[in-house]
Amino acid sequence: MAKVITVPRLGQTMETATVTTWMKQEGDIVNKGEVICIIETDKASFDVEAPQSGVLVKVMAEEGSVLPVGEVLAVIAQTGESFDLEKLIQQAKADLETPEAVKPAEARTVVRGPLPPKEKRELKVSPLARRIAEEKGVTLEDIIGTGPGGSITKEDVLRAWEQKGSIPTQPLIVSKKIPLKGIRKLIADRMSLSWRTAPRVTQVMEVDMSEAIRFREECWSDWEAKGVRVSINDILIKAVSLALMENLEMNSSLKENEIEVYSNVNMGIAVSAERGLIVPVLRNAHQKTLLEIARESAILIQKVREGKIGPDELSFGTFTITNIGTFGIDLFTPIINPPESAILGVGKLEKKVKVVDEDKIAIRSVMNLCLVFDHRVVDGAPAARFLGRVKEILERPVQLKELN
Amino acid sequence: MEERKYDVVVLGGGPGGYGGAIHAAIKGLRVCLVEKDRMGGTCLNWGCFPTKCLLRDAQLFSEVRESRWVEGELKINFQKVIERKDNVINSLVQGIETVLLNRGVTILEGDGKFLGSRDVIVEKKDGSEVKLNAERFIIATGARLDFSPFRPDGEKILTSRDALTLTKLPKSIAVIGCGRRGVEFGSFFRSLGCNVVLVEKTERIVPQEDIEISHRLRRILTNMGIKVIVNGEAVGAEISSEGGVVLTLLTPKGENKIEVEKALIPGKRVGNTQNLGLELLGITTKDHFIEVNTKSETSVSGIYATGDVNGLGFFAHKALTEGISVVDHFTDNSLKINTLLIPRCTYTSPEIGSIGLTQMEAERREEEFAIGKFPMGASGRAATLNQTQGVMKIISGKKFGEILGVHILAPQATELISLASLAMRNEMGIEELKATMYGHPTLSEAFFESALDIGGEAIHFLKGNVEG
Repeated sequence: MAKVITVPRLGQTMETATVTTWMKQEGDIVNKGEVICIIETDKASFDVEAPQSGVLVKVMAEEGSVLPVGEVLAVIAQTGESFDLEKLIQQAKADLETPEAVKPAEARTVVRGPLPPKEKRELKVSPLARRIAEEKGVTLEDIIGTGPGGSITKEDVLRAWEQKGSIPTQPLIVSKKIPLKGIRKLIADRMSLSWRTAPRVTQVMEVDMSEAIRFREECWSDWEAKGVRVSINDILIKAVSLALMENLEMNSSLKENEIEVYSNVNMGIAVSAERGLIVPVLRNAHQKTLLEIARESAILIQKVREGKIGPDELSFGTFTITNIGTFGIDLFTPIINPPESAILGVGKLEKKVKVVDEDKIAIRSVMNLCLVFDHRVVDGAPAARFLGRVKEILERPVQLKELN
Repeated sequence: MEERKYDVVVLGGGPGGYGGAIHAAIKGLRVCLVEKDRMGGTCLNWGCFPTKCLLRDAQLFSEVRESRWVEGELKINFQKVIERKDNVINSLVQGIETVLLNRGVTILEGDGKFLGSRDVIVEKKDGSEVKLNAERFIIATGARLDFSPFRPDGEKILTSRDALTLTKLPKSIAVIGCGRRGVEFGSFFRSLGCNVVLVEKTERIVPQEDIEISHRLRRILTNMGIKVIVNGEAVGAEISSEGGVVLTLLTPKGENKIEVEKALIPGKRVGNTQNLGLELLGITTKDHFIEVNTKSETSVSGIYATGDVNGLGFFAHKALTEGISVVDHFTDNSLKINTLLIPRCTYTSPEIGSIGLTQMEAERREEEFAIGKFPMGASGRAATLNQTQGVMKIISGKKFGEILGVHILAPQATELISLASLAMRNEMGIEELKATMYGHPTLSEAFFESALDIGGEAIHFLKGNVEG
């Protein structure tokens, strides 16, 4: 026989209960004693059990709805049984004073669910009003419509928007949710690791790049004849590699209780790709000529941009160069790419008025080199020496020629 | 003096009056309608209806005459055309009266005048007077025509009323002023075989319409054999020795004279605000029209002005909507009248139906807009009707795709425009037009095609293949 399940009175003062979770769905087969839903009062939450076996033919309350004691929650009937719902409900209400024993299985600690949603109002909204509300972040629920049949019009939305002082009623408008996975997750994990573990120091040094630029211009046609375009970044890679070989403590990793110092330079080059930041590694940069570096780095960057870079080409870096000077950044403090011990940030290359030898004023092309290093591994003085050496190589024509 | 008390007193039996009166009676109010002449106002008796009757016959005649599948000579009995029109009008006027009486509206024949903000005195035809007391009044006294500087004589220089009662078709006729009514009359007389000259003082005919529609219609009328003179101001009309009319036109090239058998002056509308006692109540007017707000309320509360007399547009449908809306306002339930959403109907051949902003008006706004078009030459339905001239043009906001304006020059454009009116009143946009199914082949498919054309995606129309 069909039976209605109502909100049980669980205490003297209990007036209402909130339906928090349905454990069974409409159409499910339930056994006597099985929990069909969980309700919550202001004191605790309770399980509502099936008073008989059968099919849960009707669920009458949505999750989150607040119902008075005695209100119908659901109907359990036998397969194929027909019943008069109205009659059953009336019967249940009449029986309220002498309720069937629907005893709570156990009283648990109060876990408050979300507030019950506002009573749902049928919203009539014109298509244009809906588009504008979406764009301006106006909540339609609070607007009284003045259009045909009380529908919300463009004018109503704009009025509501103006009244709120054009502050969107939703404080945050989420345009999309990006799952933290793949490369984004990797970047997040590695940057957090670096930030948590490496006590870092930043040193900034201004470098006069005028000679390097001249050097590049002088060699340009030769290089081009060989089919290579050498960028300022390539020159930097070469110069940094040289300086690293002379200051090997910068070319190292802290591994548990020891510092591994490497005698070959695998240069990481930070590349901004569509999927996120990727750092391909140019192996044995210290052994390579400037042209080889230019050729290889171009290939690596190309691969990253095309999404064809392999895991091998992303591993075993010993140092990283990151250049965001092309975005107009003067100086910045990049995060060390673990497990490396240092990273070099490159700022904007620009012409400045400088005082040069014998107190003369000259216009020079300068940029900032920003060295961030792990102070657990390297101290300030050797790091400064290393940076000074990079500067020296880049500023002196003789040294530059040797790069070639 | 006899005194009566009502909930609402309506002055004027045109659409702005009878619409409100019927609606108020339906809402259970006691209503008295005062009309000095025939029920139905200008629209039914001297405007929309008679002209539409005549235009239909003329267009049908011209279409049959010009078709290739009728042989032998066709002749028109102009007398019969006028008779049919009179019959239609009489039956419609009677229809309105029947509805009013059956709804329980008291009809009072006479002239009404305000004595106070709650009293109107009506002078009946027999000279007796009745005092009507009411809480609400609707002034729907309409507009009359001003023909200055011309002096119509009913013989050679005709008003539109005269033109509706002609018994013999003139050989040639000049229409002075090419607004809606001017081009309709021109179209009518040309369809019946008259030589027609249209004279317009601005640079284009139907100057209130989108400029593209003006230009296209001008081309069509010219091809029908109508002589169109723009930038020409008629400054004088004299009866010639041969019994015709000689018109003096001022054009940029100098003075010009043309001779025709008859001249028709459509005239300019002026609100019927005189002798109503408005000054006494302090109801403000501007250029002979009563000033009202978006709920048709005058400066005196409880007194409303609907239809032509408020000067917000001379359309029967606008008057009717206002009349109904005013009654709803009594119960605080009315919708605002948005004058931008009044459809404009011109019954030329092809017809013009338009609503909302013209392209020039859209250009004056800051927001970006897009235009979608569908030429009737690409419409299968238009081809089957043998009426392939014209275009549909939809102007929509770029950001939200809302419809800003629709301009249709096409057969049945006056019917088609209601679809645009429905969409715009309910703030539907290009997306909704695209998502709607239309019968095929129909003229209304032009909405689908024009909406698609905004993105260059029309199905039956390749830009460049058909004049767009």
